[in-house]
Amino acid sequence: MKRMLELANVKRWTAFLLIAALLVLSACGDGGGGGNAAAGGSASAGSSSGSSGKNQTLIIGMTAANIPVPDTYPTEGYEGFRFVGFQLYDGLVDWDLTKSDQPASIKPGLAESWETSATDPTLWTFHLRKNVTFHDGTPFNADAVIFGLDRIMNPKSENYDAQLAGNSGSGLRYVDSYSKVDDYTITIKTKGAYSFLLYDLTNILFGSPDAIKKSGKDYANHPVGTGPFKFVSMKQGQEMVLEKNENYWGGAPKLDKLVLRPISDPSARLAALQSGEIDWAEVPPTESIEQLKSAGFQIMTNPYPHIWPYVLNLQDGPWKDVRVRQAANYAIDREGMSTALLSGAATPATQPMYKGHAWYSDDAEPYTYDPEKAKQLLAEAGYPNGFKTTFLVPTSGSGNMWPLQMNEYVQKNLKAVGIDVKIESIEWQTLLTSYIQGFPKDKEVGAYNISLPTISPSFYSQFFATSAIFPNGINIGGYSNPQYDDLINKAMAEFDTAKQSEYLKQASKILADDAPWIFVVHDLNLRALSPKVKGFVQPQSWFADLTTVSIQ
Amino acid sequence: MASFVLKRLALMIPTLLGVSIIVFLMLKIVPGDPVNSIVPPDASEAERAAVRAQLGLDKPMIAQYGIWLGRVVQGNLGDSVTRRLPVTEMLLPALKNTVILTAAAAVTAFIIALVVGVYSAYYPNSRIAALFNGLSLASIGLPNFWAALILIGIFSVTLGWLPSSGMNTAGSSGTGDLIKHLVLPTAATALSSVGIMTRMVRSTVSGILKQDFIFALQAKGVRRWTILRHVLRNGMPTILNVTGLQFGALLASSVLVETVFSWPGIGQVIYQAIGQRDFPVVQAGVLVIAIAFVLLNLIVDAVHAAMDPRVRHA
Repeated sequence: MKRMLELANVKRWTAFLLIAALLVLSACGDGGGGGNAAAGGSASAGSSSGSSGKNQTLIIGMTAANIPVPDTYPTEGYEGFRFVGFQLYDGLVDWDLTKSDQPASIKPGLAESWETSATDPTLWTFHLRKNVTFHDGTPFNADAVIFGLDRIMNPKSENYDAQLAGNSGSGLRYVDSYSKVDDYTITIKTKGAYSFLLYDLTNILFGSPDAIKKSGKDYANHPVGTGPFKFVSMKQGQEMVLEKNENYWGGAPKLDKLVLRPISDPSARLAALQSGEIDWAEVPPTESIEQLKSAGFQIMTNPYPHIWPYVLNLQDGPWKDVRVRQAANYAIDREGMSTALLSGAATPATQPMYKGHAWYSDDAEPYTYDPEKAKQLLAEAGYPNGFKTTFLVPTSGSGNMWPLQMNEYVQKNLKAVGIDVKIESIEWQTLLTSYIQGFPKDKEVGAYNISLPTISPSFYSQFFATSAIFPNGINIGGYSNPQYDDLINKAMAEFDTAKQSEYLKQASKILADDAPWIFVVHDLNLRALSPKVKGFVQPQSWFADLTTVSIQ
Repeated sequence: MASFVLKRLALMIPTLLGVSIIVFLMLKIVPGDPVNSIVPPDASEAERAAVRAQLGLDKPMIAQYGIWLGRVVQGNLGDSVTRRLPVTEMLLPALKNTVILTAAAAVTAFIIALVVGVYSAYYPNSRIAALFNGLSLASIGLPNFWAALILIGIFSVTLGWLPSSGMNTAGSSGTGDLIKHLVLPTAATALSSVGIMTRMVRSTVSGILKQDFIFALQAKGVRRWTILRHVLRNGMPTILNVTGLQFGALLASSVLVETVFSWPGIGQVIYQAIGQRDFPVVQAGVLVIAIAFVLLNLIVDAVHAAMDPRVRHA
C-alpha cells in the first residue's frame, strides 16, 4: 500500500515535470515555426542578391523601442520617417539627401514640377510624375493624390482616417482645398499666401489607394507605397524587413534587403554593432566613439536642423530683462559641453540655426563663453548677486540627447555667474503636457528645456510670433517683437527662395539678439557604421538616403 | 481537488477586478496626456480635442472605466492609442516571448538550485560547498541588468560566441537560432533566483537530513540514492513553493533584462507604453501579467495540494 502511494506520487511528479517541459517546448516550437516561414521568405529574397556577389543586406539598429507602424504617417517620430516613411513612400516633394556639405533641400518627388499662379499666390499647381506605380502595381496619378489627401482632410470621405488626420493634419493646416485638374495635374489652394507649403508637404506621404481600400483598418500590416523599398514582413518589437523596389522611379537601391531592428538601450545597440549583429547603429553611447573609431567603425556626424535650448519665461521675473537673457547665453561653455561632455556629438548653438545654414545670421550676437561679460550684464540689469530660478527639464526622450548630464553642466555654468538654478527633472511625456499648457501659474519656473526640429520655416512663426503667444499657440514664453513678426509675415508670403532666406536670416539675428531662449547646442546625428557599409552620405538632415548604400 | 481549484478560480475575480481599478486610476492620476504622443506639439486645441473625443477621453472617468471593463469581459482589450493596432496583437506575441524567457530561466534556476543545494546540504563542510555558498550570496546581490551587460561584454563582444540582442538573427530564424539568443538573457534573468533557491534547497534538505526517519533509514541500511528520494519527496513542497514565488520575481526581473537584450517581451511593450501614456496597452498588459501571476500561484498551490494531503484538507 505504502509502496503504491509512493509510486503514485512519483507518477504525479513525472507528469508535472513533463507538462512543464511540454509548455516550454511548445512555446519554443511556436517561435521556431513562425520563424521558419520567415526564413523561407528571406531565403528567396537572398537568392536575388546583388551583382557584387556579397549579400546586400543592411541591418540597422534604431533607438526606438518598437518598429515604427508603417502607415503613411509612421509612428516613432522622425526616426519612423527616416527608416520607414521615406523608404516605403514618397511625398509630392522629397528631401535631397545626396549632399553632406549643405543643408538638405526640397526636390521634386511624386510631383515633377509645380508653380503658383501669377495672379493668385494661394493657388498651387502640381504636375505629377508619369509612369510611377505603387509596389502592388496600382498606377500613381491624380486620383491617388486626392485619395491620400481625403484620408487626412475630408471627414466626409469614406476613406477618411481620423487618427491619421490627428497625426498629420497639422501639416496641412494652411491647405484650404485641393482638386484634380487632369490625370497628372492637381491644384492646392492655401489659406492666404503661404510659401512654406512645400516644407509641410514633405511629411504627407502617399500609399496605394487599392491596398488601403482592400486592407482597411489592417493597412498598417500591409503597407504599399512608391518608395525605394517594399515592405516584406514585420515582427512586433523585433524587426521589419524591406526589400528593394527594382522599379523605383528614382533608380533602384543597391541593397537587396533592409532590416530594421529596434534596440532602445544604447549599450545594447553598441554591443550589437561590435558583435556584428547590426551594420549600422543610431546614436551609440558618446563615450564609445574613440573606441569604435580605433576598431575601424565609421563614425558619422553632421549638423542638421535641430536645436537643444531653454525656452525662457519672459512674462515676469528676471528673464523679462533682455540683459539677463543675454547674460545667461554668455555664461554657457558650449564648446566644453560639445567636446568634453559629449565627445563631439554636438556643436555649439548661439541662434536657432547652425553656421552654414541659409537662415544663419553672421552678424548676430556672438555668444562666446564669457562669464565676465555675463556677470557685467547681470549687474547692469540689477542682479549683481544673481538670482534663483527653476528649470523644468526632461529625463530622456527623442531628440533630447543626454538631458541629465547636459542640464547639470548648464547648471554649473550658470551658478558660476550667480544664477542659481534648481533643476526639476520630469518624465518627457509629462513635461510635454505641461509645456503645452504654458508656464505654471502657481510657482516660479524660469525655463523649460526641450529640443525640437527646425526643418520648416514655420518653426519661426510657431515658437516666436506674437500671434502664437499662449494660449493661441506654443509661444509660451510670451516673446513679442513687431519687427520680427513683420519679417516672418514677409517670409511667409515670399516665393523667391533667396529672398525668403534673407528674411529668415534677419529673423535669426533678432532672435539671437533678443534671446528669448538660451541657445545651447545642435545635435550632430551621431551614428556608427560597420566598415563594410559603403556609399552612405551623411546629409545635413534628419533623414537618410539608403539607395546609395551597399555592402562590401 | 476540483472544488479546491474552482474555489481558487472564483477568488481570482475580485483580485483581478482590484488590479484593474488600481491600474486604471494610476494612469489617470499620473500627469501626461496620451494625445501628446499622437499629435505633433504644434497641433491646435481643436485638433487635440478631436483626437481626445475619438479616443473616448472626453467622457467621465467612471464611464471610461465601465466601457473598458465591458469590452474586456468580452475579450476585447481595445486598440493601442499610439500604434493603431489591436492591443491583443501587440501583447500576445510579447507574452509568449516573455513566457519563453521566464520559463527557461525558471527551469535553469530550478535545476541548478536542486543540484547545488542538495550537494551543499550533504557535504556542508566541503570546500566546494563553501564556494557555492559564496557564489550564491554574490548572485543574490548582483543587479541583473548589470550582470547582463557584463555577460554581453564577455560572450558577445569579446568572445563573439553568443548574440547580444533580439530573439533571432535579423531576417532569419529557427529554433537553434532562438536557443542561441536565449542563453544570455536566461542566465541574466535566472541569476538572483538561483542564489535564493539554492539557499532554500540547502536549508530544507539539511533540515530533513537531521530528522529521525533519515537515521532510521540509514540504520536499516537503505541505499543512499533511495534515501535521497525520500529526502526530496519530503522537501519538494517547500522547494516548489519557493520556485513558484520566484517565478513572480523572474517575471519582474525579466522586464529589465528584456530591455538590455532587446528581447521583445511584454516588459518592453509595457515600458514603452507607459512612456507614451498608451493606456489601453498598459492596462491590458498589467492585467495579463496579473492573470499570469495568479494562475501560476494557483498551479503551484494545486500541485502542492496534490502532493501534500495536509494542504488539500486545510
